[in-house]
Amino acid sequence: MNWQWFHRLSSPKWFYQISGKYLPWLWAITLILMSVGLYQGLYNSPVDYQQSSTVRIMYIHVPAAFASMMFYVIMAVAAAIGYIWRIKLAHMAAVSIAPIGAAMTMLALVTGSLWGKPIWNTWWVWDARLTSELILLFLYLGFISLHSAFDDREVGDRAAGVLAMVGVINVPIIHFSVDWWHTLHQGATISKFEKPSMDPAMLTALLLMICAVILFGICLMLYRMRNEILSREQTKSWVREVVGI
Amino acid sequence: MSFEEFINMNGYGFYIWTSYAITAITFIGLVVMFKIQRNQLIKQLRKRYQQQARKKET
Repeated sequence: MNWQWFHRLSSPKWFYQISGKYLPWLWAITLILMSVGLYQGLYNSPVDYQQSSTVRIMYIHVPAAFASMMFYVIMAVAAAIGYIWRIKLAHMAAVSIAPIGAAMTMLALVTGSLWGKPIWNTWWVWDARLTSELILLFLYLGFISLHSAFDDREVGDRAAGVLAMVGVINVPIIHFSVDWWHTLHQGATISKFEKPSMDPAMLTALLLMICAVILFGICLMLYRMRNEILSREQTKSWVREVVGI
Repeated sequence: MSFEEFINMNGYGFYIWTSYAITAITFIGLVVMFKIQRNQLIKQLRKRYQQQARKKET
């Protein structure tokens, strides 16, 4: 098998150039998706027959929660690639997405709390879904602080990478927590195998916002990776040219 | 739907708008944070490269 594309992909210089070329377009698509999604979610969709207008919190709560898990998986896979094949760029990806994932987890918890107060009449319960999502936040924060605890960045990459890989076990636990344990949290409303149990206008808004939030996170990750590349490759002559000396 | 009705959200306006506001602040905060990081990094690198160039001259 020809592995050349893999090595090219893992070249920081090549990645810096190609990401710079496509990032403006990705930002533009994100902005459009988010505007349409917000219009659809806040205005052009009906209220829930049980939860009234509070259902509109769903259009940020579910995308944030989905992104928090998806970004953790991306972080863990990137850390594993970096760990196994010693690819620097993969470690940079893992390090770059960590704060974004942490922010998404925080948002999922906070918006969930703001949704829970009017509907469940409580800000917080120690049930399986909420607790495992809180553990996800601690995993992200643990990754970030562990990485910054080492003076040698490459040692930090590997140490934090192990934490990311071990912690990935928490992601399926979050996902299945609503089926495995009794919980206040409702089950999945959209699934691959069944017809979704919601109004098409709601579903449109939700899918638009999920795509928008994920794409937003990816844009941020790429942007931050470009910082990381410049910082780590600063002895290379091409970085001098980019910085403009 | 009037503007007041839209803001009121059937009495749940506080919860909904607080959720959206916190999300907006977080998203904008992330962008600004990474932008500042980039500017500082580039400034720092320029300084370092200039120092190295000066050392070479002397």
